[in-house]
Amino acid sequence: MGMADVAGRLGAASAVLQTMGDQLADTSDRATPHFATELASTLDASWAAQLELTKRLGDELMELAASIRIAAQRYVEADQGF
Amino acid sequence: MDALELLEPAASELLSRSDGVLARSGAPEGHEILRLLRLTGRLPADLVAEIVTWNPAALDARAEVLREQAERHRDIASELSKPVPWEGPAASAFGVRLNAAAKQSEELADSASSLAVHYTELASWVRVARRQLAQTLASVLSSAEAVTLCTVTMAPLERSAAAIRIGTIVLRDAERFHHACTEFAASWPQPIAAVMPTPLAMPSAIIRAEGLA
Repeated sequence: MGMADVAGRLGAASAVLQTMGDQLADTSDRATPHFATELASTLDASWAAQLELTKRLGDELMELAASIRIAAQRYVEADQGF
Repeated sequence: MDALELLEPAASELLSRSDGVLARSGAPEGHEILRLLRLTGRLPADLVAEIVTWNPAALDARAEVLREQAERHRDIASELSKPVPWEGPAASAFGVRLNAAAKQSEELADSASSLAVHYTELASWVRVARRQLAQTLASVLSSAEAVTLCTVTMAPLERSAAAIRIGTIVLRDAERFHHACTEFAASWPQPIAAVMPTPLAMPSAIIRAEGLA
């Protein structure tokens, strides 16, 4: 498996994570009544953390995939230079 | 439609009437209803209306989303744990980041699974609590106090006592909701923390520093 394959795998994982983040965002409507303010804020906080870290991981994998593609391209260019 | 939704229209009418009397006549100093009103911050009719909108199916839906996501996070963690096909400092730096990403995905999977269990427990509790509240409302609707409240010829003092009695019974149920919500909040899993302390731009910087640029 080459670097391009790894970058492709990471890119695909990143896309899945973005979709998962969107799904969490779509489901983030209020799940508790207004009188249960403490429970509501607790649920919201844990849901928001799950959403934020899922999206952040997706972003990081996307960036990592891009870094690997650049590195692979530079390997190719370096080889051609010899 | 559960029992609470079926009873809600009739209960709402009676409780609105009861709340009106309560607001006009008040309650004796030190009466239990005053403590319950302070605790809940709402009149019985408003409180019941809010509880009726608390749909356990929405909590089940969240649990289902989290269970699906836990599986996908585990798949991603497994994918990220595969060995990298090249060697050198850049590969090492990449491996560190990839391991951190795999760990984060596993943490997200565990967190999603744990949250799903709690959402399911909460949904089950809400169903039971709704049934209990429906029973309370049914008993209130068929009580002598309800008849007293709805009979305009009754003496104001009797109507006031009936309103206080009805309000107290309903708010006692609401107090159980309040305590249970507090307990659920206290036992709810803490929000997941990030396991990636450094920005991911690092590997590409190392790759460039390695002399490939």
